[in-house]
Amino acid sequence: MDEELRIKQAQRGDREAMAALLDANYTFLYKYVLKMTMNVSQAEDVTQETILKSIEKIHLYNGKSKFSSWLMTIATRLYIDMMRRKKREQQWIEQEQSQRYMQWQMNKVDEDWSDVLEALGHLSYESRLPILLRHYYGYPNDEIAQMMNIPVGTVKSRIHNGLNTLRKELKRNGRQ
Amino acid sequence: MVDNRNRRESKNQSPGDEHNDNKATDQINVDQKGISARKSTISNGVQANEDHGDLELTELIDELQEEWRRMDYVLGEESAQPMSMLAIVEQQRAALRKKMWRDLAIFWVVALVILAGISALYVADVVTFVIVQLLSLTIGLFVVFRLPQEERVES
Repeated sequence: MDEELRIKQAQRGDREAMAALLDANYTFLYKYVLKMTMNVSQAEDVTQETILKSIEKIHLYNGKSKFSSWLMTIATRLYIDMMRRKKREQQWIEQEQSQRYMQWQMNKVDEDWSDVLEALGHLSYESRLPILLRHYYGYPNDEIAQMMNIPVGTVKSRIHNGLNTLRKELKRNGRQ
Repeated sequence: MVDNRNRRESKNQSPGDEHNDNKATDQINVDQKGISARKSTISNGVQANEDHGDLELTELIDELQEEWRRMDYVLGEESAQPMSMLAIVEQQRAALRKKMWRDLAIFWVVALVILAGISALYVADVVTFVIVQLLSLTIGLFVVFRLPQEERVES
């Protein structure tokens, strides 16, 4: 069934259409959130909150962007809010624990935890987010700015500074 | 100004100085060539560094993309339970609706009791009725205008 039709049905209160819509986008959303947070428990929380919020606010979806982009915007803003509420020290401890857990998960399926992923995990979320959206999902800077609620110039500088920090971090660890 | 000074300097020159001047000019030319050669080496170096930096960044971006792709692959398909989430939302909505209806019912009951009491008072004693009305108005105005200010100061 066409996604547009499903959205219209969901907006009219069709539970089955809403469930199908969320089912179709859940994996994509979870994968995005995990890459954004680099933290399994946070990723689960943010994904669930995003789903709940999307159910509540489906009537506000105007179809200007793709449904998956709309979900990504909700998730991004929820994550930013969550991180702003947390203290920096607490963020660091949680991130460290989560990094080890993700490393263990990757090793479990015979995949190594590369130093690029390690460096990404240590990068601040303010820089990691725009780099991910720009260089993996291919969003233009103005859309990233809208998603993150920040000026376009800030997006550019965060991407630039973030990549440089990553490069330096990898060099310090004896890479490249 | 500069031209005049140069002209004045050339007038004061002796013919024997000409050779020395030519040598100096040659030296200057050689120096300038050296400087421009060094400049070009430096600019080439800067360009090379920039190119190297750009190359490093491109490689880094490629590597990042590869790692993200690998993460996606490892994660596989996550199973969603949208129906249970829908059920949660509907439960929340139903609970909220129930609470609102209950609050509305309490409001109407309290309002009816007060109205009945006021009516009884009006029939029994008009003076007491007026005093009660004035007291209610004073308390009401105090609650509406005074309390929010205090809350704002505290926050």
